[in-house]
This record gives sequence, C-alpha cells and structure tokens, in this order.
Amino acid sequence: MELLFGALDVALLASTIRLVGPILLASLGGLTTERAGVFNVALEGLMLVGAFFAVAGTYWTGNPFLGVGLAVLAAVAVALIFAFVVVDLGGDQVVAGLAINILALGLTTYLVKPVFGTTGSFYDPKMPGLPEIQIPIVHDIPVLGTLLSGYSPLTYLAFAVALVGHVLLYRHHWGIRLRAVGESPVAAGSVGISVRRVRYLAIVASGVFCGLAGAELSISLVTQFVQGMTAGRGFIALVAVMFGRARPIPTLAACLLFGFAYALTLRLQGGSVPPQFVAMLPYVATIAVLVAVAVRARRRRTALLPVTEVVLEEGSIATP
Amino acid sequence: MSASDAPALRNQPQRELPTEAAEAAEAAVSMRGIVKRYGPLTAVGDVDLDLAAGEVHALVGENGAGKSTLMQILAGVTSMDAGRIRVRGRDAAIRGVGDAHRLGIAMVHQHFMLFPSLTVAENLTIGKEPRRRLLVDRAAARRTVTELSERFGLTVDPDARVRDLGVGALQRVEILRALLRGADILILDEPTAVLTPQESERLFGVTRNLAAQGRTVVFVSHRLEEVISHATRITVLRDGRVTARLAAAETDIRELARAMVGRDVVLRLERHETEPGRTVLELRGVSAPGLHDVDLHVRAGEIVGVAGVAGNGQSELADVISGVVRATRGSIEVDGRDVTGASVAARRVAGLAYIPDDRFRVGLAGDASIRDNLIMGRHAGKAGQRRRLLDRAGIARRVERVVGAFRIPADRLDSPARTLSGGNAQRVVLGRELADPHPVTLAAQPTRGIDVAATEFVRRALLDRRSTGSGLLLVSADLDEIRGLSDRIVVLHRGRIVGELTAEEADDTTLGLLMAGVTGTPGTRGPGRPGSVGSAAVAGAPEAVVGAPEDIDGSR
Amino acid sequence: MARAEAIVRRSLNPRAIADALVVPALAIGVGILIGAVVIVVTGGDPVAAFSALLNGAVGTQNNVVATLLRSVPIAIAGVGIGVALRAGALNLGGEGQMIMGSLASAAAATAVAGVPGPAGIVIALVAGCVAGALWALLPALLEVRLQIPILITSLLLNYIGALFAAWVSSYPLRDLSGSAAVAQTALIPQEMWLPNILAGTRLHLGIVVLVILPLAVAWLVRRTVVGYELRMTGANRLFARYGGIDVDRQVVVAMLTSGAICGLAGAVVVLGLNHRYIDTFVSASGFAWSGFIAAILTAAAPITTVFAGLFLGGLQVGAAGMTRATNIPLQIVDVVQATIILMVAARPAIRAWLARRTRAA
Repeated sequence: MELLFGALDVALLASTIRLVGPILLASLGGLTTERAGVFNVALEGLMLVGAFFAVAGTYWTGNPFLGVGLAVLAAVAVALIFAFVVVDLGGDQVVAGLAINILALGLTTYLVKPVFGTTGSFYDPKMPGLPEIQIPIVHDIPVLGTLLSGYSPLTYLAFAVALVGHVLLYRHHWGIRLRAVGESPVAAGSVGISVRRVRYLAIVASGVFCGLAGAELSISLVTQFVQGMTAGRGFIALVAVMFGRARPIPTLAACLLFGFAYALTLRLQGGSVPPQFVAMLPYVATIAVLVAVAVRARRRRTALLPVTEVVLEEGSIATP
Repeated sequence: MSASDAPALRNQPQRELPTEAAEAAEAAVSMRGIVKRYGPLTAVGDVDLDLAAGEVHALVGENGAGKSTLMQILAGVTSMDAGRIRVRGRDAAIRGVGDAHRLGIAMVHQHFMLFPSLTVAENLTIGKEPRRRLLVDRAAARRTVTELSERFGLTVDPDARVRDLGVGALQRVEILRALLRGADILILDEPTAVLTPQESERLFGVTRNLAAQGRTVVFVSHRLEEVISHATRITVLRDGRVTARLAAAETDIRELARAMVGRDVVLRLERHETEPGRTVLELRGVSAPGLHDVDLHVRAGEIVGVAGVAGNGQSELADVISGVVRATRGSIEVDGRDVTGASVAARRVAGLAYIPDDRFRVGLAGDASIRDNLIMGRHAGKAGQRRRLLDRAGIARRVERVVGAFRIPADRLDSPARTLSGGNAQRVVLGRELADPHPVTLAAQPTRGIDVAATEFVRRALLDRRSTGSGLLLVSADLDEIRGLSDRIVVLHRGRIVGELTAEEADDTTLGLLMAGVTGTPGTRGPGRPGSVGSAAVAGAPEAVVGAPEDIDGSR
Repeated sequence: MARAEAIVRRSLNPRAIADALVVPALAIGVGILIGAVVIVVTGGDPVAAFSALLNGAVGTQNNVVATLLRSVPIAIAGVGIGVALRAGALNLGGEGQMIMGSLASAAAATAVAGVPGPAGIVIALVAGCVAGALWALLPALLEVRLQIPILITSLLLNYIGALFAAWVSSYPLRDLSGSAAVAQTALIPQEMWLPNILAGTRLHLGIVVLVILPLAVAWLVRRTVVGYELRMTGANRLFARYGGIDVDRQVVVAMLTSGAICGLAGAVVVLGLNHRYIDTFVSASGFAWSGFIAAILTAAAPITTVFAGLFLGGLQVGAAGMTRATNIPLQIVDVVQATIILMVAARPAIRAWLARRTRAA
C-alpha cells in the first residue's frame, strides 16, 4: 500500500509526461496513416532513423534544433521509400513496414562508424541536448509548476498536436478528406480526391512525427545514440493507436498510460525487484492494454482498428 | 442470335423514333462509334447513342451486354478504345471523372460511393467543403443540403451518419450529390436492383421530376416492366452492340425481350414438375445475430427461394445453415440429423453442399491452385485422404470427373484460381459442390456478376440438382431468378421470415410489400407451415401492418 | 511418365518461374546494388568490398565452415517462421522463441547431465522445442480468441523473453567461474554437445537438421491433410472456414510448430555452437530476423528457405571478412537485406512488370 501511494506522487506524474513524448509523437504518425488506410508498422524504424540523425545533426552543428530538423528530414526520406513501395507499387503494408524497420536498424548501426567513429553507440558529453522550457510564473507555483513546466519543446508540441489534431480530424477539410480516403478509397477517387496524394502526405506526416519522436528520445530524454534504442516504442505507439481507435484524444490517453509504465520503470530501478523484470513493465503493460482493448472490441463487435485490417494481403507472401 | 448480324441492325436502325424534344434541341449527348475492349473480350463494340435534354432514357440489356461499361465511359470512370463523344454540340474529351463533372455528367453507381462514418452533409460537400475561417462551415453545408433536397423532393437528414441509412436513403444521397455538382446529365446504374418495388416507384417520381426540369436521366436496367413504364426512350444492347432503339410508348415486353436476348422470349427455364419428398433441411425457431426466430423447411426435389432487400438477413441465414455462425436459439436439421451445434465439416458430412454468395472472397482461394480449390471440403473425406495423408490418386480421379462434367479448363489445374474468369470461377465452385449427390444444396447469389451463358449453365445445374432429388435453398437478389426457379418463395425482412408464397402468387406487388415488411396482404401466408404448400387458401384475417415501406429508409 | 510430364509442365509455368526464381534473384540483385551505392556514398570501394565479402564467405575451407555454422540457426528459424507464414500468421517472435529455446536447452542439458549418450542430447533439444512452442502459444491464442494480431504480441514477447533470459543468466544460472563481461550460464557437459562432424573445425551435427527438417516440413505441407488445411488457412481464411477447416486450430498448431522449430534453432545454437547460454548472443546475431527474411524471400517454401538461409549466412560471414579487410561496417548487410524484403513486399508490382516485359518480348 505504501509503495503504491509512494509511487503516485507528483514527481512520478511529471516523469510520465516527460517520458510520453516519443510514444505520443509516433502514435500521432500512426494515427494519421491509419486514417488514410495505411497500417504503419514502420513507426519503429522511422523513429530510429530520427533518433540517429538528431544526434548526428546536433553533433555536427552543435545546435540541437538543427538536429531535430535533420531528424525530421531523414525520417521523411525513409518514409518516402515506404510510401513508394506501399502506394505506388501496391506492396504489402506489413512486409514493407518490417523491411523499413530492418533497413533503419541496419542503416543507423552501420552509420555510427563512418559518422561518429565508434561502434554500437555514441555519446559525447560536450553535445548539447534540447533545452527544458521553464514557463515563467507557472514554473514557480508548487505542484502545478512541476507538472506543467520544465519539459522539452517537443513534449509541448506533442500535446499541442494531439489536441489540435482532434479539431483537424473532425472539423477541417484535411481531416475529413483523410478519413474519407481511409474509409473508402474508391469513393474518395470518385469525388475527385487523389488517394495517392493523401496517402503520400499521410505517410510523410508520419515521417515528420517519427523524426520528432526519435529526436525527443535521443537528444532530450538522453543525449546519446544507442543501436536499436527505440526498443519496441514504435510498436507500443501502434498499440496506443489501436487503443484510441485512431482518435487523437483517446490515443493520447493510451500514451499517457504507457508513459506511466516507463516512469514506473525508472522509479523502481534499483529497488528490490530485479532490473530485468522492471524493464519488462512497458511491454507487459502494452500486452495487457491490447487484451483489454480486444475484449472491449469483441463485446462491441467492432474491429481492433477502425480502418485497416492487420492481415497479410492474400498472395503477398504465403503462396509459393 | 449471332453477333455478326448485330452491326446490320445498327446501320439500319429499326424503328428509330426520336421524340419531339430530341429533334427540337441538339442532343445533350451524342456518342459515336464507341469501342471498349478488355483483352480479347469486346465489352462495347461500335455503339452510337443519343441522349436528349428532358428525357428519361433507359439502357437495357442482359448482364455483360455492355450497358454499364458504356455509361462508365460517358462518366469518365472507364476510358474508351475508340469513338467520339459530343456534349451539347461540342466535342468532349472525357479523360476522368473530373472531366465528366465539368461537363455536368454524373453517375450514381450500383455500389454506393459514400463514406459511412461521415454525415450526409459531409458526404455531399466533400471535396468542395464550405469553409469559415480555417474550419469547415457545418451550418452552411447543412443549409445547402436542406435547400437542395427540398427542391428535388429527395428527403434526407443532413446530420445523419451515412452508416445508419437504409438503401433507399443512400441512393437519394448519391443523387443529391450528383445534382449538387451541377449535373444535368444523370446516369443511374441499375438503380432499382436494391430497392423494393415501392421504393422504385418513388425513385421514378424523382427522375420524372428531373426530366421535367430539362435534365437528362439515363438509367441502366434489365427489368423490362419498369423500363416500359418509366422511360421515354429505350436503347437495347446485346453483346456490346445496339440491337434496338425504341420509344417506350410504342413497344412491349415481348419486343424488348427479343431485342435483349436475341431469340423469342425464353424468360423461364423449363422446370419439370416434381413431387417433393421428405424434409431434408429444417430450421425451427432459429435465431442468430441478424436473424430472428426463423422457421423454414426444404424438401427433397424442391427449390425454395429466399427473397428480400439486400441486407435483411440473407447472408446471416446462409451462415447459420452452413455452420460458419452458430445459432443462438432454435434447432437445425440436415437430412434428419440435428446439426445445431455441429461444425461446418460435420454439416458437410451430414449432407450439405454450399455455393457461397461471394465466390472470390469465400468460395475460392485465389492464390491456391484450381486443383486445391476443387477438393476443399472433400479433402478430409473418403475421396481425399487415406490415414491423414492426401490420397493423390483419389483426388486426381475426382478432379478429372468434376472438370469433365463442369467444363472447367483442364489444362490449367495448377494455375491459381484467381486467373479464372467470373463464369469459370463459378464452375469450379459449382463443380466442387455439386459433383456428389447431397440431400441439401444451399445456393447464395449463384449467378451474380457472370455472363448470360454462364448464368444459364448455373441455373440448369441447379434444376438438374433438383430433379435428382436434392432439396435446394436459393438465396438471390434477382427476383426473376427466384421466381423462375423456385417452387416456393419465402421473404426475409429484418431477419424474420415475413411471408411464404408459391411461384405463381409472387407478383411484383405482393413480393414488394413483403420485402418492405408489410404483411397481411391477400395471397400471403404465415411463415413455413408444413403441408400448406399447394393450397391457395388465404390464412386467416389480414394481420396488422408491421411497418410502412418508408421504414426501411430509417435504419438497417 | 505422365506424372513426370506434369511436373515438368508445372515447373515451366511462367508464373511459377517468376515467383520461385526471378523475384528473389531480382531482389538479391537490387539489394546488392543498393548496398554498393551505400558503400560508395560513405566513401568505400564496392568492388573491393564485395570481393572481400565473397572471399570471406566461401574463400577457404574455414570460411565455408563459418558460413555453414552461421546458416544453421538462420535456416532452421526460417523454416519455422515459414510454417506460420503458410498458415497466414506473421510470427515476428522468432527471436524470443529462439532465446527461450536456447535457455531451456542449456538448463536441460545441465540438469540431465547424467543421462548417457544421445538420449540426453535429445532431451535437451526437445526442451528447446517445448520452450519455443510455449513462447509462441500466447500470441496464437490471443489472435484466435481476441483477434489481437500475432505480429504485435509475438514481437513484444521478444523483449520480454530477452529480459527474462537476461535475468536467468545473470542470477539463478549465472556462471560464476569465469570472468566474462556478459552474463552467461555454465558450460554444459561435453557429452551433451552436438557431435563434431568435421575434424579440426567446429562443424557440428546440427547441419544434418538443415537436410532433414525442410524435407519433413515440405512433405507435411504438401502431402498431408493437415498440410492442406494449413495452406488453405493461409491462402484464404474465409474459404478455409467455409470448407469446414477449423481455422483457429490451424493457426494455433502452425504457431506451436513454428515456435518449436525456432526453439530448436535456439537449442542448436547452445548445444552445437556455444555450449552454454550467452546473454544477448541470439539477438545480437540477428538469427531470427535473417530467418524471417529467408522465409519471406522464398514465399515460405521450406527447401528454398534453407538455400536462402545459406545465402544470408554467407552474406553475413562474408561481411565480417569484408569488415576486417576494408573497414566497411558489418551492417551494410542489413541494408542489403532490407532492400531485398522491400523488393519482396513489392512482389505484385514486380510480377506485373515481368508480365508486361514477357508480353512485349
């Protein structure tokens, strides 16, 4: 009991918000493509590319904001490969997404050597990270100051985009067209909306979000690059999209839940529980959330995701 | 009928009778020498067509005659291989839907092109959303829709979500969208296929109204009665060519049918009288998601047709009989054996053959070989296995027999089934299901989307099946097919059987009212009363009216 | 005679050729090309790099043995992942299943050390299979009961499995005798090692699995009723269900088999290669992902999957040689591999393109 109450303090909540950034940003990318009818398994890889180039950009220029810019550019470039295979070549979304993940893991690990001259990971104490934003006045209010102030600019951006995204999705013509394309591409074509264009834009947007997510991970939460450092966060973000049925606000809620799991992981580090079990927490939480979502979906007789179905396309692989 | 004399018919148009309206104004649309080929198949071969302002023009022909393709060319959905189109006296290059829209041409498709989760207003304004500051102006969108729907008498609720609408309302939304885009040449592709006769009447009220305002309405149909009653002029297509141009007022069904089929009316296949035998399929009080308390029986040697507006429980009925979905209440017997809780496999063993409605999605595995497709459901039986190993010799013998009997292309048995044409794919399904004698055959939409020859083949196969003493349950959206093949007809409405008729009793009005859920009309009986077939007695006093026809617009 | 003719005709079917050979060949060709481009862009000499790679893979007897050693777990895992693929299940949990298989076989080998001769080895191998199968069971059950996609749960279980194995090899079963930097279990008794089959090298009996396993799986898939049901479940689940196949059972059986074979791959790593569980070895080597690529590249045909596994193993071992010779990082191989899968993902487009070309010619 004491452990539970002790854990639920302001610092833990602040830590939740701090750690939610990467997942929230990536899930906003996943949400966008899901609405356009593209099941985006590539989030993980795009995020990893972002994480690498954020460090590279910061290392080269000494300016973390230029690092963020480079992260976004690089993730968008890789996203364009994904878009080309999925949209133009009609490739299987799942297989193409996995290919992007393998490409990202290989490419970033490969590039560590020529770019930084090390292997596996890179850390430079002189390299600056993203600054924390201290909101004047609010910062000095007890409790509220801890909760609302002192996060990275990308964290504020993530929350803002989630909230604005809600309005965009339901009240702006972009959102309506995006949903239309996902729901019925043929019908969207018949009213003169270019399905190809919308899907490309959605995938590029997911590249932007994943680039930001990777940057938040590698030059804000920590200031280093480690191979494979996303460690399944892209898939956890995908589960958040499922939880929220691709609606921004519920997706945000799911992300906070997962952020809490990460915060708990940090908190319990060094306690009596072996570190390996503590580190399992986010993954176990994700599976538990999936089960809860699926039970709810079954009771309501709906699919797990509103638009795309997570299946291999017939004839994509399993037929020789 | 031979395709070779068709061009002669076109060059000397028999009885071309332009209406006065058409003579007075230059034709709204004139299409000349239109050709469209799909590989070796000519869908449309050198067709001329004139459409006048202020007319309701019917385009008639059997499945695969090319009527929908011709209209898709005009609407910019499909490209043409040769030909010229003039709109309002000017050469028009229609390269896409956008071009057609700019010329005021819009098409309402058979499959609605709507977005289920968006509201009616959003569906209607998408692509041209009214904006206020940064966001979509919902009030303005709502106003536009209300004004327009009042002007044309097409009632819809602008705030309703499209997924909650019935078929009739969906169609009105589609027509409104076309009108909103300023279409004055409106193409309706098989508009009445999904409607009850009463809803169809309402639709034709709208088309008359539109024509009176000087617009052009073209509708594609193969229902001759409605064409004669509601069109001004009629163009008949057969095998991609025009076989007749007629004025509706001066023709009759026989003449139309001859032009359409190319021989003297064979609207009905020959059906030998058989004496129905024992009951082979019996449903007692069966409920399942989408089905309520269904009583139904089929006897050996008879065909029972299931009629109804699409989405009223037909596929649920097929699922619950085949065992893909379990009944939540009631019991099902196949050939005297209770199969209520039995698996799909056990039901097949008990004697059920099943031709599913969606042959490419359910009835075949497109990427598996034709051979693999032919043994599904029999692979675990005597013909397919020996000690859990596939019996390749037995399978080869069976495949050879089926291929011969059902004229399946035998040289490509190892090619994927996806490479088959619609008709040949259906032969594979039929061959697999009908090769062995089974007491019960369940056939769902067996002729949907296949050409005339294949349709005839399928219908004959079903009738042969009947004469060998199998009991058939035929689910079909094609009322002519139901009437032509069935000994008895039951009508489904909202998952309930609302009436049972003999084929003779099933005229449009009776059937239509039942399909709309109106019971108690003279000539109908209560559902599935064993032994009452053949007696023409009207059962009891007319029952209370369950729901007005408009009800089906409300929700599905 | 007629049968031989039919086989010849079947194998000459242009679609079959396209699928079986042209697409993988094209994919590999483009993959190597892209790899070369990356080498050039980052300042390397692709010709020197690839000749060093070829030499590193098959240049000497030792290199051939190294290639074979590396290919064994890749190919076994590939065949395993292929079994799930044939049933339409995307088993991304091969890594977790291999890890659990390794761990279980290491533990079993230590526990049954007294059992004489091959029986002990068999027990350890079976322990690996069982552990792998169990690790695949949860994703299978969650998909058939709750429609939670196997691809997500099986992937998340990789992380959980890796962390669990890290704990086991760091605490309860930690080898306290050595001073290795990574956690590992104690060396298993030598009589539990897979026998060496080529004196003077580390080549072990595991290579035999590469011959027997794909033949067994191919026979199972093509000639048995279960295999037919498995293939049809993968080809079209609605069709399979309509035909009376218990689709859910097929998915569970396929995943259990898939997990068991991946577990076997893990056990072979322990009993044949390292003779102990070494933490992070399986994931760092990327065996399961390479196996996944092999399966997907060959459309899960078991026999060709083994050849693809040998190719990928050679590529990786060769790349290590290349790194030593040219200083180009090893992970260039991942770039080549990712390009290969991207090409496979685009298979429909490649097919259409090939069809247009054959028609034009």
